[in-house]
Amino acid sequence: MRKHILSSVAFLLILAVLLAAASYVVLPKNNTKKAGMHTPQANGILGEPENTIDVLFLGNSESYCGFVPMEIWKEQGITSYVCGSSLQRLYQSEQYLRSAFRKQSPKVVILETLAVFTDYGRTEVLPDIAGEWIPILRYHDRWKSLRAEDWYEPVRYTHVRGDKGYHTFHEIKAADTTDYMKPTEETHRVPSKNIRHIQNMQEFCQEHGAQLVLVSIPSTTNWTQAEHNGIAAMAQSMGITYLDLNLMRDEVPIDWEVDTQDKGDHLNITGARKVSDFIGQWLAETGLFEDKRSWEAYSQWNQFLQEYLEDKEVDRSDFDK
Amino acid sequence: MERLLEILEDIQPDVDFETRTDLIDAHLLSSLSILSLIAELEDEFDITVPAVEIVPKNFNSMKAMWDMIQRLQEEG
Amino acid sequence: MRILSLLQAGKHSTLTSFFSPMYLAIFLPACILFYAVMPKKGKKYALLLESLGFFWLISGKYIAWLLVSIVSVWGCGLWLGRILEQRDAAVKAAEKPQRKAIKQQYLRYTRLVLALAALGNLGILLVLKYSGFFIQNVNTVFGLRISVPAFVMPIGISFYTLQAVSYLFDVYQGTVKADRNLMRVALFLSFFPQIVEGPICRYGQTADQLWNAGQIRYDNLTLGLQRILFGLMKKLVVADRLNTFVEGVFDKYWEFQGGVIAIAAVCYTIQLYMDFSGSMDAVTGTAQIFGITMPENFKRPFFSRTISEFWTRWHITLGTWFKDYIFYPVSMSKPMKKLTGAARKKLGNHFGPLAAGGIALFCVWFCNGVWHGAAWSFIFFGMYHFVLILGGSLIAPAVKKVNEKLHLSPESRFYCLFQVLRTCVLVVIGELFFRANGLRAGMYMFGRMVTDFRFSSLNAALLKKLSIDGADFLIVGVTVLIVFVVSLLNEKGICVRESLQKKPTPVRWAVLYALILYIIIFGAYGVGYVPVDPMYANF
Repeated sequence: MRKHILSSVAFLLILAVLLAAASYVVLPKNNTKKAGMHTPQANGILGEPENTIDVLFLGNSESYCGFVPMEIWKEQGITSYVCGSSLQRLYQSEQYLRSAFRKQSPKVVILETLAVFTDYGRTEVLPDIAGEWIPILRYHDRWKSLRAEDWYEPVRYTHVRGDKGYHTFHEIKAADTTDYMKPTEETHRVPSKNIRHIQNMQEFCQEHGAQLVLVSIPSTTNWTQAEHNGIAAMAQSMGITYLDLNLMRDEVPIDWEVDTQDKGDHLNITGARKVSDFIGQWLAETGLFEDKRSWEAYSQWNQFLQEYLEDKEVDRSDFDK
Repeated sequence: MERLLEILEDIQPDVDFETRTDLIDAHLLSSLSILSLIAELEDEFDITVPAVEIVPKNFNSMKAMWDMIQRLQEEG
Repeated sequence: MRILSLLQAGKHSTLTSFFSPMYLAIFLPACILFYAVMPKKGKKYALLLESLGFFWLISGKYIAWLLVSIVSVWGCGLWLGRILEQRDAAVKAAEKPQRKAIKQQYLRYTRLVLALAALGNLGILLVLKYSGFFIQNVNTVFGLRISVPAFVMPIGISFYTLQAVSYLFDVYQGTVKADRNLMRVALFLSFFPQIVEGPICRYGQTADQLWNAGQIRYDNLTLGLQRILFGLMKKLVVADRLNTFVEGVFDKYWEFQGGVIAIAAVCYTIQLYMDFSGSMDAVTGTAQIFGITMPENFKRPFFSRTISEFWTRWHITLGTWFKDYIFYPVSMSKPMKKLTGAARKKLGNHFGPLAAGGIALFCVWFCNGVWHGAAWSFIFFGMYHFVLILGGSLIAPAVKKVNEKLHLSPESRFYCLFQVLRTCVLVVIGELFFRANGLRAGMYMFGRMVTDFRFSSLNAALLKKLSIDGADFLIVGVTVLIVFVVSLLNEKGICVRESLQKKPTPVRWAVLYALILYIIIFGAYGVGYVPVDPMYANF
């Protein structure tokens, strides 16, 4: 019996060493798609110079179609980054939050609220957590694109993205607004798992000197009054600031004829600018940030701003999809 | 036994029936040829082979078949 | 109640795959642990609890169907057993001349009970599985508009129902004794690894083993895990990697050249084999951990020389089920025996029995077809193999003559190889119809394959569209080669797992590490891959 336990332990120890070695090889050596990084847009933050990001955005596709860091930079001189990914679950938001704070110390963390209603199965998390601990499980598919350098190069995240996690969309498909935000007393309940995640994120932010804010980006197909009521109730009980842009039609005057790319599901660039102008102003009014537009250390932001203003067709080669 | 061997060789030539003990397991007798075999056996030895008896154990070797035939003859 | 809702019964469909993290990382270890800490006397109940729990986690309230089957089979088994006991007593008491008459009398009675119980159980399956198909066809034929019911079929019902019927049959035939113990019958029918995709076990094979399962032994544990690992390789590296290609071609079959369709048919056959036999490795491996030997469901089917042999080596437990409970009972029934007798006088001893055999064979293959699903393409699949097997027997004498004339020895290497390849081609064609989206699509694809056997459109762009590339095919090829070599060794009587077990530790471990890393690196899972459900779980 004792012999068996000993040999099992030895077997597993050697296996762990082998897995660690293999993990090292397949680990993307930079935060680019070419180097094998998954969700390179959201993980672009890993390449940002230390302590240069003021504001962190989290959420699913609503977030990366709605928050435009360059627009906020242009208007307010505040730096921000969108760690948004498609169908992001809150456990992933939490992962992004923790990973962003390793190199950055944003003062405000904004979570887009559609993800708050996305429930997920417990078993879904398992592969993700396993992948976090044993990178070979996450990046095993890199055997196809492995280069000689992958065997010895250290991991260095150096790629800085000009889009800061925002996905540009120019398409226009008008939305039907018939039932959009119809008043109701109904309340959509937030899944209990997600309440826990928000508590975790709130605590984490407090410990790191940041403030968690919830924002609902306008969407005719994804948002209703009942959902607003659910988030509002939760935010109030937890003492979290909540801004529902769906209800702020004067401050964020979305024109549903032209400001959406897919019939009200997501905003396009013009809609996103309206959202970002409002958010930028709101951030400025908190008085937490200095205007860095003229700072030497942030000259690269101004270079990217030029590209952003040219409003070119987007090169999607460094995108996931 | 001799008669049994003749029947078997008539159904499936080129098989070493006398020594093999895996006639069914090695797929040397298919289920359709088993039917021919049973029809012959029933005629030749005046027995009735019930469906229950058709198991690999009884048909894997010539000896097993012979044992089964004798058992069925005794039972009448 | 809160704990119950936490478990979310009926929502764990991922458990049906033995290669899901849910099964491998959570369910199985928990089961092993729970089983191991149970005292000796409680182990059987632990297994039963785990089995019912497994079914309940997957199917929720539909576990009721399983429970109905268990209780009815147990009850009817006892009923049959009682009648048989009475018969034996009556026969013993009677004088010899009357014995036959008494037996006959009781035979009628036992048959009635058997029919009632078997049809009752099959009835549940028939209604849940086929009523939709049946009503649809009635509607088309008679121009009616009867609403088509949409029953939810609990997972595994096609498998455990066959086990249930086989038990009743075995009691009726006297090969096993009716079981008084409801729990043992329940465990026999519901044992958790086997309930999703088989193997379809017989009461005599597993019931006592399960009931007397003892302490987990270290060598069983490691051997079982190794077998699961080998299955994992088949499923994750080959079957799942081929999935996008197979799915892409079969779903939009009209877009592709015949040559591409042929490749997809071959790939599907490989995928099905790797998926199903891989799952069987997981089932057998899991059972081995608990010290239980399951009947093998595959015996290197692609080395078969004839279609009839193929079916004794592919999904073996289904084939033997049909053979034992349909083929022989039908062909050995009184009217069929009469037919055989008459036919032999006229047609001789080779062709004579084929009349009754053909009818029985037809029944088998019709059932085999519809067992796989309520659709015409499955019925066609059954008929295709029926024609091949019966045809093979019909032309056998002619083939023999031709071979003699050409001086071909049936035992020569060349001839064997030819037969094996021919069988593989015929199997692939069958699987093409099996996988096609309906009979019409199957016909179209087959036609395309025959009339337009070209590959010119097969280029990088087409492969990219199907989310597969040369590297994928290379890995599939290498893995198929590994499985082929292992099969070849098995065919020669060398059990790779056992001979590995005898090697010194460093060699053994090195092989295992290589296999584990091979699966982890080359498996088709994670980002960019959609998990594929086990293919036989839906039948």
